[in-house]
Amino acid sequence: MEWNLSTDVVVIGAGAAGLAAAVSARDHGADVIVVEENYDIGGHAMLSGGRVHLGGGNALQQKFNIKDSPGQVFADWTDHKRGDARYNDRELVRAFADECVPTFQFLLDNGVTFIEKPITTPDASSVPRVFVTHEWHVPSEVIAPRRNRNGSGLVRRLAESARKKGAQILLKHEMTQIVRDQRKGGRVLGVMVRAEGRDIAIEARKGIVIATGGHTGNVNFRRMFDPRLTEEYQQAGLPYSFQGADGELAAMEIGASLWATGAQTSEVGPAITKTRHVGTRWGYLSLYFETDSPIFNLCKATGLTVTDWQEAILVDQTGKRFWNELDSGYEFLNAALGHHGDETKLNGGGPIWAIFDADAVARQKWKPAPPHVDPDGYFASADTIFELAGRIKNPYQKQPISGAVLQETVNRYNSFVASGVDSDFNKPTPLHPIAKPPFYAAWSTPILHDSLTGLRTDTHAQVLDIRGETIPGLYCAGESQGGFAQHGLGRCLVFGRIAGRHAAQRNS
Amino acid sequence: MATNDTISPDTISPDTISLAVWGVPMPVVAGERFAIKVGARSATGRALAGERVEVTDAAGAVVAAGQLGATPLPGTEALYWTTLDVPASEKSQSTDYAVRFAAADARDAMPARLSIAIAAKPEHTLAVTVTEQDSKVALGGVEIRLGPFHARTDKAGRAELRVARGSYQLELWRTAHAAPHRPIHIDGDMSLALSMLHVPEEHPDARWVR
Repeated sequence: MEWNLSTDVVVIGAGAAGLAAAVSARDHGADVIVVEENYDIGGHAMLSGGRVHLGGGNALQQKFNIKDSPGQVFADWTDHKRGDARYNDRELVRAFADECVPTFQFLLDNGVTFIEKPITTPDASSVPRVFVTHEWHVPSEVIAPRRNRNGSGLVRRLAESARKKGAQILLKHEMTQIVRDQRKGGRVLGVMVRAEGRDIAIEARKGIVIATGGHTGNVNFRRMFDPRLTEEYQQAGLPYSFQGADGELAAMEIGASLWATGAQTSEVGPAITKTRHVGTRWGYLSLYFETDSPIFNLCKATGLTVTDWQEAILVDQTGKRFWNELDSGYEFLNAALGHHGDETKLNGGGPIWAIFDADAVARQKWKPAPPHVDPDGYFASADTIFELAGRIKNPYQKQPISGAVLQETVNRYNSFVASGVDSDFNKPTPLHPIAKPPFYAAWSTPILHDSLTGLRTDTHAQVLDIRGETIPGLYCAGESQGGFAQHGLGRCLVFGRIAGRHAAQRNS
Repeated sequence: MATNDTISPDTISPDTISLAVWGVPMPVVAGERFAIKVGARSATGRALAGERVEVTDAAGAVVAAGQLGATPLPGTEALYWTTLDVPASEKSQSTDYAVRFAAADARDAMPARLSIAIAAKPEHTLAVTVTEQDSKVALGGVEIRLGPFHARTDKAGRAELRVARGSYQLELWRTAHAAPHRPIHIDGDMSLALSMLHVPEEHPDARWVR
């Protein structure tokens, strides 16, 4: 095969895992090319809160006299009593536990700085292990400014270090294929990449690291684990970072296996979440885009932040309430994803709409107009509830909502406010009638976040095929890796570093 | 009470009239009159000034009527409105009224329904102070419900409710705070010092575990 470029290690994706892999591979003497499909680095990590979950007794834990050890990390994250721990591959958890402290030091050595305040998390960790990175100091280079997206500080520093150490980062280069020697047990040879309309073949003499950020944006892929997740469910991190399962698909096309798929539907954590920012397509819990975001023209609205779900009701695509709005757990989400009567679309629950009135707007001090809401399918207003139903028009709203049905839904809810009892869904103390015009409908459909399953790897992050055999030279880290369902940056950084190191040390 | 399952699909004409009802006091005093606001909007946005709207009771009798005003409600596109004076039942209960657009050509008008809580005339005052359970800090913005009676604490954590004699469940609501419901019997003026426990909201990136 004729190669346009040649290097030791190709890293696919310039997020937390990919950048850690790139730096680590350079540290071990490998030439590195990173290919990133986006116009800038960072992936999901750029938009994250920068909460780095590494314990084991790292330098900052010691400073705060937090007693921890790799053994305790292992025990916590394999605890059979916990939904976020019991489905993990314990060999991967052991590798993670042992590499936490060195990885934390690795970050410090590469210029990453932390806010010196330990964070206790309500997950499997039994001691505080999270420290938050400082947000990147150049506001124009923070994709979601003014939203405490401290992960920008992590990935900008790692990218800076990677480039300084000689790694080449090719932006707007989309991986389209992983090339593998077709002989049985053959190793990976390189990647095909598309950039500016051209196909580029990049040889990887030692290895390829898949760090493409997971799959939750790929409707067909995610439905392998949960058929309910049809197209109406948006992916958090868009429109900046697309989790398209590119790495997974390319690897599976050359025989790779998935792993620990049970983690994806364990109903623990933010794999599926209730949005907090309504009236905009990609409002997530902690993330929305302010008007000075460089990608605001794509986001189109900041959304209205709901601090109290007493202020609105939530209706399904038929205009009916389906659960207590004050619940944010998986019972709520399961109800939202339940079948709501559309016989033409049995899977998925369809759009969910927050319905509220002018009094709610006044109490919450909302501004129900652009740029706070997106009237192009994600927000509507009208003088009456009946009229409002007819104005809810959205690509995922397959049937119009009946005005009479929505009117009766609101009437019924208002009767619960009068009586003080929600006899349909036990919403505690329903407080406010939805009565004062004008009325509003805001997109409030559950949004997807964590990829908690992916490719099978060993403890060196080497990808295994469907027969459990190593695909020589192929690695995976980050949200595309299966087997360790810890939310966030910690596992991405650890296994990215492991992958880069191991790949660099392979014979070419 | 109608449920969604029995509602027929919309029969929409180009000029369907729909209604909104707001400003309903809670509670309404039994046997007294109360004011509500009624608005009507044509799907075409045509002017409805001077058209008639009516309120009927559970038996279908017209208990209030009036004519829509000359100009739309500020902040709306074309909601013509009026204030109606409605008599409340003598019984303390929750009850429904229907509101309808009663113009001669009202064939395509969607009726509205309003639910009210009727209570005996308040005779007593319940003075409430709410603090956070551990810090003792005054909690403003606490919604207090005592049956149909309600109030909201001020910045000093204080509120006064005018309530009728009787037995109720006292309920408190404030985001990220919790307090158990408690039974209360009112037979005179009372003062209560209450507390709510601050339940820290999970960090948005935190996880549910079970």
